[in-house]
Amino acid sequence: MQWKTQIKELWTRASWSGTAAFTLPGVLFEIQPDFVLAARLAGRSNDNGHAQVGHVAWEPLEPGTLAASPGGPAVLNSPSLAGALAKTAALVGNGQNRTGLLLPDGVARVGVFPLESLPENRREAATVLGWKMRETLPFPPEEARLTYQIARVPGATVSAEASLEVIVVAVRSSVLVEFERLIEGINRSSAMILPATMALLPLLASDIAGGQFLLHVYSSTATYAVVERQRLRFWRSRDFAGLDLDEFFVQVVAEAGRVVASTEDRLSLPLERIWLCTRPPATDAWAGQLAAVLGRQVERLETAPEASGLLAREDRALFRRYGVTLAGLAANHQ
Amino acid sequence: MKIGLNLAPSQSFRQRHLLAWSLPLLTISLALLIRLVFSIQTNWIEYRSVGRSVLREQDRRNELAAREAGLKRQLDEPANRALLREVQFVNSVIDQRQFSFTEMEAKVTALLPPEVRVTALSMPDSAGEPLIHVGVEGSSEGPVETFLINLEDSPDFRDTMITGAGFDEKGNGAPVGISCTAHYVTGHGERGTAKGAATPAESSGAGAEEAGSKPGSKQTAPAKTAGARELTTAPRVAAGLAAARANPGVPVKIGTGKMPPVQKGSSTKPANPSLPVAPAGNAAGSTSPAGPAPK
Repeated sequence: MQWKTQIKELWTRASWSGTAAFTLPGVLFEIQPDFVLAARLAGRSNDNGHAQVGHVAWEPLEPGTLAASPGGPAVLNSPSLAGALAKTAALVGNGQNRTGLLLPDGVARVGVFPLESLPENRREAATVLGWKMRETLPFPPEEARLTYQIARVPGATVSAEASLEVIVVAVRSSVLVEFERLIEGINRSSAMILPATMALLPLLASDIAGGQFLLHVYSSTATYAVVERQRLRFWRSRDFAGLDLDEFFVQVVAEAGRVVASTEDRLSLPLERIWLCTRPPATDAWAGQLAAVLGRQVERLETAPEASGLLAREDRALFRRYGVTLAGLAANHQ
Repeated sequence: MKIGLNLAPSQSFRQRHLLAWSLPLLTISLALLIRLVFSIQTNWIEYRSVGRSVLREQDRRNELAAREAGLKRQLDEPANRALLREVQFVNSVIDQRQFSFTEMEAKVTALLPPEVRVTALSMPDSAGEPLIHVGVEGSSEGPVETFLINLEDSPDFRDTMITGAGFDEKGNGAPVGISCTAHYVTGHGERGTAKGAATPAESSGAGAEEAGSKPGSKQTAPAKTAGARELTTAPRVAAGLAAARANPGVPVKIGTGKMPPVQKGSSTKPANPSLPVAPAGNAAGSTSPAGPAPK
């Protein structure tokens, strides 16, 4: 039966398709456990070269529609979610049929791995990275769809032990297929898929030598990320579903304190700026309490005004409340 | 931090090249479609043309069939039926104009009594109503006379003329020979006009085939009964023979009311100037008949 194995390997090799490079589609959908956000990007950029949002629409979701777990299934109420997608798609208009999709951070696993080298062949590299990710994945690595980004360690020589740092994002293929089918249900196809917090990273300051801490709070999820220039040093996403608002806030802040302490201690990376992004925006009291716990100044990560230059007034308010991820993607396209 | 990540699958080969190839393929398909449409149109026009030709031929065929049926109906009318019979009769006469020497010889032979044999039989010219020369010889005068009677009564011959005769003067039973001429009317010429043969009008009651049938060996027998023959032909033959005996070398026509006078001694001058007289040297068996000139 050797020939059967060979045929299976050949078929697997032939049918394997890698992930695409980053692209900014004309229409973006963000699907979160409690809302769906849609936006259509305008054809022209602003003075800074950032893409501009033309239309934006928001639609709440019933509780229990989505389960942001990496093992899946993620979509629990497909008709409700499909209806919300169709409604928001109709509001933003029929732009390009290739769309971008921002998913809950909970369905993805993100890892950062220092490596000496990585195979040139993308399939072999994906195999290596899948093996590296096996301990963090709640499913077999073969079932994961991987995308990775290579960052060179500053000051490290080629002969150094770990000259590369690879950011790997893995999502179970079956979970991605659930979302892709929803997009196909509205006669679109997915051209870009990312965890939502990844879209915020381009908004962080790029001229700071030290580290930057980002806390992204939305729905019942909090994602913590530490970035050092072009390197993602830390990533953690936690779901605090079932907690009331006060308890949720306490837990999020406590976790943030632990992440900051761990980062500065283990990575020897002083955090120079603390960013807070909550959707909907948090109150000043909440930001002040976080600053008090962390003992540092907390800055709000908000949408750039120039990104919403083309929006109507009511759309601008909506964009300020929920559209920071869209602004991050638009900034990444520069 | 710049993001280069994307979990969306890369476009397949088909997706990448679909747009690039779609326009040429669309153009080629359109050209083929236009060609196909023109081909269909041409074929349709040809089909319609052939269909119209077929319809025209069918109409013409139907018209001809109708004309044929009309002509058949016309011919079936009583007035045209007689015309048809006449046409058939004429056709049969034309068929009979095919002369056969063998048939003529058979007819002559059929007229011979057992005691008579043919010594000469010739036909100088077969055109028109051929004149035949017959020479016979018998053991006595009776059978020769019978032959002449048969010849005269035969519907196939007419205008019998004795051109020469040789008789046993002493009566010791020496053969009697005569030479005579007659017109053969069956092979050529008008049939039966002199002997009362069937005319088209007479034969109409018996049918066209019967009227047109050629008198064969059955008709070579004398048409008249023996009694009638004695009353009509036999005396004339006897008279003719007597005249030939009396005037050797003078042609004697049988059946004419006036016979040359029986003269003592031979004379080359016919007694009756009205009788046809053979020219000098036109003896029996001569190749120059006294009949109608050949065509």
